Amino acid sequence: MGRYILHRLLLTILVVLGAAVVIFTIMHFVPGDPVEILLGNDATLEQYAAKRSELGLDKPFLIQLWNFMYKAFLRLDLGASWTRSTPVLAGMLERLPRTFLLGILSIILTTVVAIPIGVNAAIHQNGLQDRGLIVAAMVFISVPEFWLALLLIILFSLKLGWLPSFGIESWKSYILPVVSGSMASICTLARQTRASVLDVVHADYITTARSKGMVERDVIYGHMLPNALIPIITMIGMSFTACVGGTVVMEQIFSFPGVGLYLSDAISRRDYPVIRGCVVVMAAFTAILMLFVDLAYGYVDPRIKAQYISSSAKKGKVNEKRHRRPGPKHHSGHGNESQ
Amino acid sequence: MKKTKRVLSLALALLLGAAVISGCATKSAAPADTTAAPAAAAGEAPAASQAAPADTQAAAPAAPEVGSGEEPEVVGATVEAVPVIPGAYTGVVRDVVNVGISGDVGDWNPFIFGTPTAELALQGMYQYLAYNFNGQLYPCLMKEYSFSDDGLTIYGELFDYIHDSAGNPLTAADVAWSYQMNVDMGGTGIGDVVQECVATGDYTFEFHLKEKLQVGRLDKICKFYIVTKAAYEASKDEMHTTPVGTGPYKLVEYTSGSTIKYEATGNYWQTDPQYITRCDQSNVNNINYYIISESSQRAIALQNGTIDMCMEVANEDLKTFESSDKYRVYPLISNYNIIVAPNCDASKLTADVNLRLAICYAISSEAILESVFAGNGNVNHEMSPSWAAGYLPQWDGEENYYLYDPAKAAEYLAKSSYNGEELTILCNTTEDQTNTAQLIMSFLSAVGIKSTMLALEDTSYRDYLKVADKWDIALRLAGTNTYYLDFIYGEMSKAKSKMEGTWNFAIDDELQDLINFTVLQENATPENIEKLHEYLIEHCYQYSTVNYMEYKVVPEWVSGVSLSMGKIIVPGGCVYTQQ
Repeated sequence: MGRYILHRLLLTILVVLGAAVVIFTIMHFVPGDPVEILLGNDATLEQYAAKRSELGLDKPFLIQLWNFMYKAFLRLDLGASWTRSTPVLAGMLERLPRTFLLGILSIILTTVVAIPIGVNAAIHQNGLQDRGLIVAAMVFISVPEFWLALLLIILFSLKLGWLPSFGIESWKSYILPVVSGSMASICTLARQTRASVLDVVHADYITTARSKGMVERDVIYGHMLPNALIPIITMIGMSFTACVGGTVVMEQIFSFPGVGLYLSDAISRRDYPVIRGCVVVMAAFTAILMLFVDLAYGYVDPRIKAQYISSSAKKGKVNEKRHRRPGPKHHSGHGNESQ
Repeated sequence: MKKTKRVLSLALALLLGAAVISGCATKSAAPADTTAAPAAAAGEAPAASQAAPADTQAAAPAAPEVGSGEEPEVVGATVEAVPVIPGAYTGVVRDVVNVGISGDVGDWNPFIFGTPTAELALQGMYQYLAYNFNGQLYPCLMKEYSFSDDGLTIYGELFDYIHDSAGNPLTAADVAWSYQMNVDMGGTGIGDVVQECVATGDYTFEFHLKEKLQVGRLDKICKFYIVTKAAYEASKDEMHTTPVGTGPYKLVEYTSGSTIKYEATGNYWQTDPQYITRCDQSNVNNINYYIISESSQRAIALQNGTIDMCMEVANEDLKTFESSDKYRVYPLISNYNIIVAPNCDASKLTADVNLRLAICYAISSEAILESVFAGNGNVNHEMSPSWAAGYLPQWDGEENYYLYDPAKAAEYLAKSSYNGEELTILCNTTEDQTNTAQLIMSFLSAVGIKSTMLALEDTSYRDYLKVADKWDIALRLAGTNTYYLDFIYGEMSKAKSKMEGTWNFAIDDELQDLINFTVLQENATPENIEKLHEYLIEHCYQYSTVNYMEYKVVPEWVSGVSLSMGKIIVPGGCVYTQQ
């Protein structure tokens, strides 16, 4: 298991490096002169040139890329925002908790609401709850998030005056972004839960459990749900990745000063350090989260855990055999250890 | 238990349904018409020049005797424009005002080129040497100024009792140092005009100019932020997040991307009312700026009372506020004009003046004004609107500024080398520009010119503008300075475009000579301006179509609206009737 985690962590590093190279390349070739944005139209050509040199934009692409990769990954320095003159990491760390809280609250709401609704719909297949879920899911999955958000603002903020329509002044500010950002995922997860539970609802072990006289709730939550959890966990895991990068629209609509707004503002102002920094942090976060999701599979389903262990063991044996084989000089760290 | 679950499910569904239905109802009831803004002529607002201290202009060189230069605001029925120097404030001092703005400041450093939002938020905290209203300078830090006989030196004198909010005294050495910081960090363009700034005494300083001053350049010299070197050096991060200025307000809280909170310093250095312009009043103790990027959200925040006033209100939201007793809509003519600029690069079809004239005569500015801006604004008769200082009144009555004439357009088209090619109209993705581009496409089509639209987000758009082979006609928002000649210089001078010709690739030495000659203060006579005007019309390098209106919304307890040089509401200078 440890070997599997190590392997995944190494892959994570590759993913983050790849993301960094890709975003750097895209931003390098995208139209828009950051120096003109920074200095405006009144600066002289000499001032433009000096600024370009100061930012390192006058150097060849590969040199710029190397400088960025070196600073970001060997010195853990994401640089300073060109438009704000503050360190990118500090900017991220200031906003990340807000965005993360928004995302976590959305996931909690989604999970707490969607799973019971999905289970309820499945065990009442073709009943009122089931049909209600199907209709509601169809509506809310189709409705664009920004539109729903505006409707909720009009109702709860403008008409009723219960909730603020923007900002982060109080805990109430989180309610509308969380609810409007969760509606589609509640419906999607509820449908997924329904489908997963339907897969196991007629299984023999469920019939056996019922025939043994178990209380229905214990049958559902003790036998049905654990066996239906794998796809649900995948979906929740995917939602976690949206915690950091997927709330741009919500942040824009609710003027919520999180990472998404930081990033979108940086894109429009061609603030390369912020864009690169955000993408690198998001990529790392997403890769690590997906690792946790994969590990969670193992805890939920012992068969998957056994697969992790056996595949790691097999690879270990293969490596051992390779290194025992006489042949050309090949001394890796593992080889030395096994010898 | 089952029943409870069913009831809960139903309740949830009903709640969601209600949200959707109520939202739909509100949306459909929302006004679609935006034509109800009161129309009034430009230049009706009272000019406040008489209130300015006489010594401020005493030694100024003679200004051109042309153009109105009057404030272009159009004052609403129940809300007045605050004069530049309103005298001692007699209204109510309000405790808090919440203002909605569309973007963040980003960087608080006074020497870095900022966004328009930055100008808005920085006002009240940082100060200039002087303010320019109606083409006239009003003192701020600088008590008075004069010119040397050869016109190449400006002698300035500061008030001798200036201090910043941290208590550091401001002297002439700080002015010279701030000037140099502005030049070093780039952005204000002051280095184009001034060779150096030297402190000659504790409170006296000199600007040594590179050449004789052009029209409109004096206020640019005065328009850079000045802070004390002591405060700057004491700041832990060169004032990027910890600004200290000499203005009547200080920053007390800043949440990046969310809120900016100002508080009156309570010890503003200037106490003589005759020197306090509306930009430097502090008629409210606390100003909270809320950054709300979405236009519809700003309108909702105004309606539910979260914010009290708003700088930018979309046309579609106006009726809500106009029909309510709780708000006052303050319409004013914008600084911006919609410019149609044919690409004059030699490789382009539009290098042919006949095709350029055909394009201009084919487009109806009246139709653009009516269709895109709901009739709210004015049709231009020259590159700049009529309220700019230096604009000759007779131009309004002239009929030679490309008045819509399809027959004339067809005539010029026949004379041109156009042979059915498709022209690319480059524009920004803003609604105003895309709508204008669509309208222009239909006008061109009517006279037999094929065209297509290329709409790009702002940064890419600006990048494309610099590449001659990417477009044939560009739409551009051009901001008018107070002065007609300065506007022409900004739009047409190759010194300004930093290219071989104008920004739309017109290489014309005669034009450049004419501009460079006319923009000098001593040459800016009506005769010379008229010559330039005729030359521009004849060669048709650019066509200025409309100068539209903008709208500010204030609460009913604001009886006087105070605007900055950039036409941004100055909350500290407004007149309040409620605490």
